[in-house]
Amino acid sequence: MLLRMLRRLLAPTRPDPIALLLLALAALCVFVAGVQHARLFHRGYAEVEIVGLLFFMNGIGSAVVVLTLIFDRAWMFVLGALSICVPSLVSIAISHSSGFLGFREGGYDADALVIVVAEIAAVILASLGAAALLARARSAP
Amino acid sequence: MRIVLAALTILVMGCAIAGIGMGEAPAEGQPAPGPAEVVAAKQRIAAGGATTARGRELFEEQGCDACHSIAAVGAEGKLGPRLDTLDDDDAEDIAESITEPREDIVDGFPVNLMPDDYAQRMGDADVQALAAFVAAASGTEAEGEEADEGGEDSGRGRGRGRGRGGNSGSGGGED
Repeated sequence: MLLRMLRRLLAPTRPDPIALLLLALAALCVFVAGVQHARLFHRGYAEVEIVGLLFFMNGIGSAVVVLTLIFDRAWMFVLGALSICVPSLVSIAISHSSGFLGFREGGYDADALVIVVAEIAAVILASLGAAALLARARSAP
Repeated sequence: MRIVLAALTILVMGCAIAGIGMGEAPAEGQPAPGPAEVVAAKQRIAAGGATTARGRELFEEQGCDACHSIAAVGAEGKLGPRLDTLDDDDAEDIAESITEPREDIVDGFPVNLMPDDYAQRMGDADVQALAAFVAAASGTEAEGEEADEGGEDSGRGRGRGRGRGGNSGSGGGED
């Protein structure tokens, strides 16, 4: 079972046009959020313990995830996009309330809003894309 | 097409990760104190007694060091203004900046990054201790306090103006 899932994850998938459009838009959102994280890393977050490193890794991870879609690993892209964006959104929410790893922020400026909007959009689009992929897989003979 | 897209992704993200064209931290342009000033700040902090010591603890506990720099204690945060080069904010002004951080923002720094609930999170005594520590680090202790101690060395501005110290206090962190 696990092996089959892993095989599906790694196997090239040719999404239908609708799924491809949804996933491509999700990839664009992941990319924007990743660039923004990398940018903020150099604009002061590098000195924030652990959180700075997570910003840096978000940038690298986002690039890798986008590359998986470019090279037809649609399921890997969906998994990667959700794995990056969901924890990132949760961390942002926590850092604006009780604090995340000792770091707390007071409000959302334009930079933070770009990330939040892009990541929410990425989660929605990637989920819809995954649903479209599943629907196609089920309807296939 | 695929190769072009991949190359573009790597190029743009590579530049972002390497920091090319990404600008710099808000506090990057603020000059750090010289070695002599750092030594003097360390002495002032040590001479401040229990209140300043408590303030130093709070500076770390509340996560202020994530965003603010004070060379004398090795804090290198760059999201908020440096707190060891305040020209004219005494402990009272600094306490105000801690409890009402959005009242007076230093140019070039984010308006709403610093949490504005420190008055609720810390008691008044702790806010005063934190302010006393920052004032000692900057050499802008309150006049009365300094007179009590026989006039320590700060030698800096004593004005009540809100110069570079606005939006100071402790920012961006939590306990």
